[in-house]
Amino acid sequence: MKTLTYIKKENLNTFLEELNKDYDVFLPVQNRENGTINFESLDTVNDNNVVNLKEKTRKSPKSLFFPPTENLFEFEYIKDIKTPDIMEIKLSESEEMIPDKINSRKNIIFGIKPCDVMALKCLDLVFGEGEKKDSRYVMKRANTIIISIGCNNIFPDCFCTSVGGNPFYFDHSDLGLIDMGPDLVIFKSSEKDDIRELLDKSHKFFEEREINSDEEIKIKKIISDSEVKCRSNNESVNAEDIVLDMENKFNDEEMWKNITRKCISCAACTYVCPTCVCFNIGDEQSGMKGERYKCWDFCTNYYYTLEASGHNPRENIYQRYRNKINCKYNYFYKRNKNLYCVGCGRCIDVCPVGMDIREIVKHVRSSQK
Amino acid sequence: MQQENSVEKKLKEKIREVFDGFELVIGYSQSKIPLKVNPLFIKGKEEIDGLIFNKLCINNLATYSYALSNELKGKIGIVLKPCDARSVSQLISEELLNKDRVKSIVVGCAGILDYKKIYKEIGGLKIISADIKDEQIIIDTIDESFTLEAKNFYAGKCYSCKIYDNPPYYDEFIENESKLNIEQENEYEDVEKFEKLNLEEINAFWDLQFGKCIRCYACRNICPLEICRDKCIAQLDVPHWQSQKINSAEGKFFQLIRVFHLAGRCTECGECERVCPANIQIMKLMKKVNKDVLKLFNYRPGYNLDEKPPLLTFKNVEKNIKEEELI
Amino acid sequence: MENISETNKDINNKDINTNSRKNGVKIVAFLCNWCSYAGADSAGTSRLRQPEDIRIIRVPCSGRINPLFVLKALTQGADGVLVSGCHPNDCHYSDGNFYARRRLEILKEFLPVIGIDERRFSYQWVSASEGQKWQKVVINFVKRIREIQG
Repeated sequence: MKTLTYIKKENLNTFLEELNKDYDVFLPVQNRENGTINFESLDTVNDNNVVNLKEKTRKSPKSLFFPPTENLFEFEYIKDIKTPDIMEIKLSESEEMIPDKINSRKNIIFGIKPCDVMALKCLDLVFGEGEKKDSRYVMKRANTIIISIGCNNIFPDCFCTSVGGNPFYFDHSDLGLIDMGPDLVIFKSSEKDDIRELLDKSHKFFEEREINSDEEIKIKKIISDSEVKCRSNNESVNAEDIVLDMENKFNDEEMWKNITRKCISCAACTYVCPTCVCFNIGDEQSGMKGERYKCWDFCTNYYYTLEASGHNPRENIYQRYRNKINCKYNYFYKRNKNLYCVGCGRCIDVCPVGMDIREIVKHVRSSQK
Repeated sequence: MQQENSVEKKLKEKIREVFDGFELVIGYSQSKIPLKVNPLFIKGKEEIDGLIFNKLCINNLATYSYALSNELKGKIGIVLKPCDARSVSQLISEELLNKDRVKSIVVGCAGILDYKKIYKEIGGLKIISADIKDEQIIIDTIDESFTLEAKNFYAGKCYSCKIYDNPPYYDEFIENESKLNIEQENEYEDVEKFEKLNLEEINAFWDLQFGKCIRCYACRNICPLEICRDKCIAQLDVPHWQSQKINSAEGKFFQLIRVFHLAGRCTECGECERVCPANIQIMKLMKKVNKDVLKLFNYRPGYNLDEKPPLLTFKNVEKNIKEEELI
Repeated sequence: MENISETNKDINNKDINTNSRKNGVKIVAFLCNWCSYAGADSAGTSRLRQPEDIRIIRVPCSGRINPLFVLKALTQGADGVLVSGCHPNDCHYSDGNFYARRRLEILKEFLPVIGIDERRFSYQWVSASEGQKWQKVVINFVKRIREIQG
């Protein structure tokens, strides 16, 4: 007989508030005014902002590790009137970059979906490894506990199974929970020290139950129903095949022009995507002081490849969109053996004109040159 | 999802009739996502069957007019609602579009449903399927089903529309048997209410709204009149109008750039507010400027092809401008 | 036309005369080169004293003023913005100030909706010979801004 740990849903609020005392808890919060759900701190929950664990968030949780804007450092030009031809530059670290500030309290992300956890794995490949790893990103990742909840419901824009994912993919989460109705069951738990510490601290909210085969079947059914539903809604994409198709159809300009006519080259899909990570670095100066900042950038922008000479290799929308699709389904796979799309469907949900990345990929695969 | 209605049939017939003169026709087609429609670019006669026209067709297809008329050599036909035809008319009166190259196929409108209002009503619950029968909207979400009265969920602009069956500008007009039938409201009522708030309340409101802005530029890129979308001053380093940082102050300043770029030109199609991923209430600003332009210069953008936009011209004596004296 | 010495008496009043570095307000003034800038200059040569809070930017014509100049100044720390040009019908470039009048009126009516007090902005017509008018405009505008600042 197996034993599993259960959390009653009626205890969930108190459990989270208890956690909030020692950790900074982030979870999906829905604004009653306009219905959008985003990852916010537990402190913002009130009558107008309620917790909603059933649906996808509008913006992805990447902003907790890769913020839309952050100051890298501050600089100041210092001149001494006695030596007017010498100018010193004083550099100082911005507050948000100071390691002690980042590590002051551990973070918990609660209620993150399996597609977003797969996306964090992709972000790790970009920012967390190799010579060029971002030390602040690595610090934030090490400082965060990920508690994921699997997807009992599949929405019209979900397609994680097409790209090698799964509605109950718990591999990179620290804790994986399944919604059983009146309670949540901890289906997967990592052996790391900080997770054991968290579980020990909160044991009064948990219930250890010996489960019988009926319960096991029930859990397995929830998992397989979701997977089957997602697979039946969407076609599967084989990574090696799609990379080859993208390469072969790259120069078919007529096809690319036809399928991207609708696109208005805004940044909506890029900014809500959990894996898109292009960024821009700039300086803001006022008088003798200034700061260098890093902010999100988007490749569907005209200015993205504009060169100082005035020439722009990607002058038209179809070229920029083609680059975006290739980045996700071609280039990244060649570098890291991982597709760069996790099938969350946020781009489809937010696109002003209804561009559907599934249709685009299908078109590329099936078009005859 | 729905059976072909009679205005759809008439529209398809008309397009088949005139198709040979056109290089491209833009219309609406079905979308997989509930309550939404997709733009359809028709290059061959066989694609005309995919056209639809119903209460969900909220997109303003005039947004493609400028870029396409520069890219293609032949004639372009666009399926438009009367409110969208105003955008094409305004572009023509500013000499940005050639009247002979872009033809407006205007369809009489029975009102457009705003899917954002519906999302708000059902608490933002993700919709699995939706259907419109007679005057009711039937929606299925993960937990429950809803039946809503369509007349409460039309787009804001529909409640003060006077041109639904007599468009101010068209090349071909397709009459619709069903007419818009909802209670009419005063045009600028929401702006007048907003103006009455005091400065602190207004500042708090905008700080909250623009705190959500992610500078995606969807509002600018979807606007039919913002033909500058690829050459915007907000993204330049020199001259340094704005920082590229993503925060509330920068989001607010970007909207101010848009407001003054569109002063006296905005045709109030409402697309900017519809496409905003963060649901910011941009139309309040645009409507305020339009209300002032109407009051000061008696001009409505997009109605009269021959009238010059007021900020591109002047009068020696301005009857309605009361200048302030500081001495 | 008021007596010069009477206006100077006003200025000796402590309210108007302050050390702008300590507790003054920041006001940006866009002046057209041909009329208003010359008018401000003639106010200076006639020794008409004014508060020191105004910082002047010279533009060729009031028609050069993009309403965004005013908004950028107000949102980035200016307490007030003044725009001044030639009188309508007297523009050095014939019609620049007609366009300016239309644009700046729309701007003035728009400011309350974005949360800026519309008293912080004003556009005036000051000609090259109206040094006294310039002095009055500056005194009154600075007084108004100081009242708003509290």
